[in-house]
Amino acid sequence: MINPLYSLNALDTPLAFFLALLIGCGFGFALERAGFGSSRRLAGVFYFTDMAVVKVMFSALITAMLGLSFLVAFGWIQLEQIYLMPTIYAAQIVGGVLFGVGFVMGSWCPGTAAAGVASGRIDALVFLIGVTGGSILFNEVFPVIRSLYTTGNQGVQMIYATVGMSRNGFMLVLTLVAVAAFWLSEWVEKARTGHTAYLRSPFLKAFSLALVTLALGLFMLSPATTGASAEPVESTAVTAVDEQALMESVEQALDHIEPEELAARLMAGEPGLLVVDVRPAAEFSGFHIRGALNAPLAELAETLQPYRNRGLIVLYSNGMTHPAQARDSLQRRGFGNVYILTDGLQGFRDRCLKPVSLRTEPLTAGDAARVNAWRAFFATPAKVGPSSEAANEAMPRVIETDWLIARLGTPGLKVIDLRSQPEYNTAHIPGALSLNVESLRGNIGGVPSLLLPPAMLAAQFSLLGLQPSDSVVLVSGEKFHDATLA
Amino acid sequence: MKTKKVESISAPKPYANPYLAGVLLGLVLLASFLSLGVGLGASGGIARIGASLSLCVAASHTLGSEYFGEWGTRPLNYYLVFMFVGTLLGALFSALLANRARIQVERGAGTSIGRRLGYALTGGLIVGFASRLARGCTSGQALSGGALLLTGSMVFLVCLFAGGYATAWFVRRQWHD
Repeated sequence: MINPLYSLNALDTPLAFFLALLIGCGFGFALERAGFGSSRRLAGVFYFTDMAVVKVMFSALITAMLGLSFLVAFGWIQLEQIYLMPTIYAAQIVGGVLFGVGFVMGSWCPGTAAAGVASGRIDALVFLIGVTGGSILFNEVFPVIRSLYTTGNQGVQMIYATVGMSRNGFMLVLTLVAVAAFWLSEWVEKARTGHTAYLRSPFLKAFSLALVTLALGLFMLSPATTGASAEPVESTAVTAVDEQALMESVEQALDHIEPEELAARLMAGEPGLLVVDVRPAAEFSGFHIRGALNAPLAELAETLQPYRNRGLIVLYSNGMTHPAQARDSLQRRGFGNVYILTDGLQGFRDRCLKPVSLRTEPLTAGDAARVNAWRAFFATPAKVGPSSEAANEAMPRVIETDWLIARLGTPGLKVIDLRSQPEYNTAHIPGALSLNVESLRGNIGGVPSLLLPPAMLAAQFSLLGLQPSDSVVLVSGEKFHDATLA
Repeated sequence: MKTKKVESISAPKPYANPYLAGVLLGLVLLASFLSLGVGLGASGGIARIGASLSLCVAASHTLGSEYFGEWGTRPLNYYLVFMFVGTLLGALFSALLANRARIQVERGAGTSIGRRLGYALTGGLIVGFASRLARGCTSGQALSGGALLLTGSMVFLVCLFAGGYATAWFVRRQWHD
C-alpha cells in the first residue's frame, strides 16, 4: 500500500518540495526529449504539419491512466488518496477555450515554455512573462469574475460516470481513440508534408497493440466491472466500498449531531470543534451560531482542507439538504470528521434558543436553566461575555516570552501581531496573525476613530479565525496601543 | 572531412520517438501521483511567482486580495514552485545533451521578431489568466486530470483544442516562411 504525501496532508513539507523538484526534473527532461522546447513544433499541431503534441499527450495520458488503474487493481493505492480536482463546467469551458486561443498565439503552454526557456528560446521567456502577468491580472479582477470561477461546482466527477459507462469500458474506448488518433496523425503528416516516420511502421503497430492489450487486461483483473454485470453506481471496487460505508453511516444517523449536544460542546469550549455556516454571507452576518465560520458551498472543500480528519467539523444551514449534500461530497474527498446539525439552524433556534416562556411543552427547572444559559451564550452578539471573562481571570495580563514559548501551538491560543505590515513581513512569531488596529476603528455618527460596534468587531475577529473561547496574546512593537483591544 | 565531423557534433540531434517520449512523460506523471498524490503542474508555480512579485510591489493590497491573499506572505513555499524549477533544470539537461540549446526567437522566416514576441506576450497573458480560471493548464488540468478521468479536465482538453483550432488561421502568419 502506497501513501502519497497528499493523503498524509504533507504536501507542504521539505520532503514534498524535494520530491516535486525531482519530478519536475523528469517532467522537463521528458518535454525536451519530445521536442517541446520548440514553439514551431508545438504550433505544428494546429496547422497539421507536426502532430507531436497529439502523439506525446495521448501516449502520456494513456500510460499514466493504465498504469494507475493497474496499481489500483493490485490494491497498491486508492484513487481517493490522490487529489481529484472538481468539475466546474463554466470555468473549465471558458478557461479551456481561452487557453486554446492563447496557446496557438504564443505557441507555448506553461510547461513547454519552461522547456523552451531552458533551450534558449526568447519567445518562451516572453510568453512566461505574459503568463505571470495573466495570473496577476486574474487576481486583480477576481472579485468581478468570482461567480464564473465557482458557479456550478459539481464536485469530483468521473468522465465514465458522466457518460454512463463502466470505468474499464471507458478506458478501452479512450485507448482505441488514442490509437486511432496516432494513425490519423501520421496520415495527416504524410498528406501535408510528404513524409512520415511511423505510418504503418512495425513500431506503431506494436505500440498500438500493446496499449489495447493493457486496456483489455484491466477487465481480467477486476471482473466485477466487466460486461453486463457492470453497475453504473459501482465503478470500481474501491469506491463501491466507500459508498457503502457512506450509506451505512447515513442509515445509522452517525453523521448527525443534535442541537443540544452542539450547544453544550460549544459552551464547554471544546478544542478542535469547528462549526461551519454554509449559508450566504448576508444571512451569516444577520445571525449565526457563535464561533461559526462562514464558507460558501462551492469553496467548502478548499476552506476545510486544513481541518480534514482533524477535530470535528459541524456543517449547518437553515435546513438540512445542503449540509447533507456537502457532507457526502466531503466524505468522498476523504473527510471522515464531518457532521451535520440535526434540523439545521431552524432546529437550533427552536430547540435551544426559544425562550422558556414561548414553549408549549412542560420544562423542568433544570431544563429551563439550561435554555436560559444557552440563550445568554448564543442569542447575544458575539463579544467577550462574562463566562469567558471569568475563565481569563486565572491568566496573566502581561506575559513573559517563556510563557508564550511554552504554550505556542496550543489550540485556542492565538497570537496577534499589531506591528505594521512591513515589520510583520520581516519576521514574526510563528503562527501569528497580522492586524492593523486602525481597522478596528471607524467613523461612527460623524465622530472619527471610534471603536466599531460589537457586531462589526465580531465579524472582523471571526475573519481572523478568532473564537470567543480563544485566548489571545497581543504582540506590539515599540508603541503600546493594544489597550483598544484588551 | 574534418569540418564535416565538427558540424555533425554541433548539429542538434533529432527529437526522440514521440510515442516513447510520451510514455516517459506518462511514467513521470504516474510517479507524481504515487509519491506526491497530485499530478504535474506548471502554471500553478508561475502564478505563485506572480503572487510573490505582487507582494513585493503592493504587499498589503496583495494580502488583502481574495485570490492571492489565500496564499499568505510566502507564496513561493509551495511544491509547484519547486516542480517548476525542476522542469527548467531537467529540460536544460536534456537540451544540452542533445545540443538543442540555442539563444533565438523561434519564428517563421517571413515574420519580424517584434511580431512573434508580441504574439508570445499576448498568448502568455491569455494563458496565464485562463489557467487560473480553469484551475490548471495543459499539464495540471488536461494531462493530469485527463489521466485521472475527471470530467472537468476532459471538458477543458476538448475546449482547449476547439479554441486553438478556431484561432489558428488568424495567427498563422507568424509561422510563414
